[in-house]
Amino acid sequence: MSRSMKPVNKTIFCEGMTIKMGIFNTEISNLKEKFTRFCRNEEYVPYLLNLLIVLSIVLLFVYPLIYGVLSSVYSKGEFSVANYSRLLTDRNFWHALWVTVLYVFFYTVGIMFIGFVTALAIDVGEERKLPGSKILSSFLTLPYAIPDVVGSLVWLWMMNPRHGIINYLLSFLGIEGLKWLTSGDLALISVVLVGIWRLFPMHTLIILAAFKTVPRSLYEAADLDGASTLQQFFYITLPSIANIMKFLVLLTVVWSFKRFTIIWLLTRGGPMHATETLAIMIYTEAFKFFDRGYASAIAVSLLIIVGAVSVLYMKFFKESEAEGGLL
Amino acid sequence: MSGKRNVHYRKIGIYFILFFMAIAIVFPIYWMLLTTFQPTSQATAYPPSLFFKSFSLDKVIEVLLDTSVIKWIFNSFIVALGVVVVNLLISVPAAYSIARYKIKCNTILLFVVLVTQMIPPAIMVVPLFEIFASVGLNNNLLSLILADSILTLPIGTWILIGFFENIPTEIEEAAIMDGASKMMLFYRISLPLTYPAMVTVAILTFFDAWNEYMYAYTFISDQSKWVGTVGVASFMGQFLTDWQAVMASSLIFSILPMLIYIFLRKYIVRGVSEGFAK
Repeated sequence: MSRSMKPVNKTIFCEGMTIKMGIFNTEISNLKEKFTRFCRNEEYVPYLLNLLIVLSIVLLFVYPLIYGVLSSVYSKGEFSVANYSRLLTDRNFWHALWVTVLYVFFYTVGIMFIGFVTALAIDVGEERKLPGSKILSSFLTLPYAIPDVVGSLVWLWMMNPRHGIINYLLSFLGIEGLKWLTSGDLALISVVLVGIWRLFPMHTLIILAAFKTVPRSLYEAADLDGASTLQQFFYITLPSIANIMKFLVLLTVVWSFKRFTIIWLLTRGGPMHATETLAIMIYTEAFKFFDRGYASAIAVSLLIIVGAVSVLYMKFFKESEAEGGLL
Repeated sequence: MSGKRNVHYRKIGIYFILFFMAIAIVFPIYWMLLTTFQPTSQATAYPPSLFFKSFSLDKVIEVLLDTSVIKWIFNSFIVALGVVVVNLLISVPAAYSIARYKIKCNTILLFVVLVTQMIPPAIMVVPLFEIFASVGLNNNLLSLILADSILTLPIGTWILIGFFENIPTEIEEAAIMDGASKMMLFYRISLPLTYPAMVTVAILTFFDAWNEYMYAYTFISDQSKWVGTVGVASFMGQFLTDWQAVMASSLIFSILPMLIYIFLRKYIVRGVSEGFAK
C-alpha cells in the first residue's frame, strides 16, 4: 500500500519524472519480492551448493584457458599473430599433428579390440563357470594401481635393447636386437602398446558391465528358437551394447589426446620427433625452448581439435540421455 | 559329435585369451619384483633368468637409506590426501545440487564439468605454471593440490550425481513434512547415505593424484618437495641407469596404491561400472 503511495506524492513536482520513478519503484519492489521469495523458499540452495565448484572452475580452468589463448596472440603487450603464421609453416607442427592422429587411431583401435576380446573371454568364462576364470579376471584391473611413471619405467627396462628381457625372449625366435624405442619405425608402436597395457583393463570392465545389462530372457528365447551362440552374439549382444560401444570409442578418442606421461618418459617425443604428439610438442616448446607464446599457439590448435571431437561426443551424449541413459 | 569338439575348442580359446592377457598384465609387475629382490649381479646379468635364484633386500635398503624416496612418497601422500579432501568438498554439494534441482544453471554446470574432463592437461600446463608463479605458488605442494583437483573433479562429480539420483525422493519428502530446511535435507538426510560413493570417489581421486606426473614435474623444482612420480623418474639417468635402483624405487612407490587396490578393489570396479551405467 505504502509503496504505491510514494509516486503519487511526487506528482505535484514533476509529472514526467514521477512516471519514471513509479516504474523504477515497482521494479525495485518486484526484485525485493523475488528476493524474499528466494530466501523464504530457500531457492538459493542450489546456487549455494554450486558455489565452490563454480569458483574453482572459473579460477583454475576458465581463467588459465583464457590466459593461454591470450598469451598466444600477445607478445610483449602487443597483439600479433606471428605465432600462428609460424605454426602454418612449421613442418614439426604438421608432423606432430600427423603423429597425434596416428597415436589416437592405433591407441583407440587397439584398446577397444583388446578390451573387447578380454571382456568377452571373461564373460563367457564366468557364464560357463570355467575354473580359474574368476581369479584371472580379478587380475585384470591391476595395472590401474600401477602409476604411469612406474609402468613406463618397467617397460623401459624390459624394452632395453641390450639387457631387456623382451629382446632376450625374442632371440629364441630368431629376432635379434630390436630397438623398441630408439628406431623411428618401432617407437610409436611401442609407445601405443605401453599406453594400452596401462589402461585396457578399464575398457574391459566397462564392456563387461555392458554385457551384464543385456537381459537374460533374450538369450533364453533365442535358445528356444535354436539360435547358435554365434548368432546370439551377432543378433542380440552386439546390437544391445552398440550404443555404449560408440560412446566408449568417442570417449577413448578424447582421452587419448590427454596422454603425456608414458610417451614423455619412454621417448620424450624422439627419436627424431617420431613419437612427438601435440601434447609433447607443447611441453617441449614451453619448457625446453622456453617459447611459451608458441607453445600456447600449439595448445590452442590442440584445443580446437579436441573441441571438434568433443562436440561429436556431446551430441551423442545428449541423444542417448534423451533416450534414457546409455545402458 | 562335431558340436562337442567345437565347445572344446572354444574352451581352449577362452583359456588361451585369459591366460595370455593375465601374463601380459602381470609379467611387467613380476619383472619389477624380480629385478628388485635379487642380488645386483644377478638382477642385471645378461642373459637374464626368468625365475628367482636367490633373494636379496640389499637394493631396497640402499634406496630407502641413501635417497629421498621416503620423503617424496610422503609428499605424494600429502598431495593425494589434499586432492581427495578438496575434491570431495567441491564435488559433493555440486553433485547433490545437479541431481536434485533440475534448473537451467545446473544443466550448464554439468556441461562445463564434462568439458573440463576433455581438455588435455598439456593445454593447461603452461598457463597454470605462469599463474602459480605470479601468485608465488610455484615450488609449493598446494599448487599441485589445486591443479590436480580440477583434473579429478569431473569423475567424482559424475559418480556422485548418479548416486544422489538413486536416493529415493520419498526419504526427503518425509523430512520436508517434519519441517526440514533444504540445507538440512542435503546435510542430514542425503549426505550420510552417500558415504559409500564418497569412498569410491576418494579412492579414484587418490589414484589419479598419486599418478599425476606432468604438473608435478613442472611446478616443483625443489628436490625436497618433489612427489614420488618425479622422484622415481629421476632415477633414470641421462647416460648410465642403475636399473635395479629404478625398479626398487618404482616398487616402493607402488606399494600403497597396490595395497589399496587389493583391499578396496570392489569400490574401484563399482565406481567404473556405475559411472558408466548411469
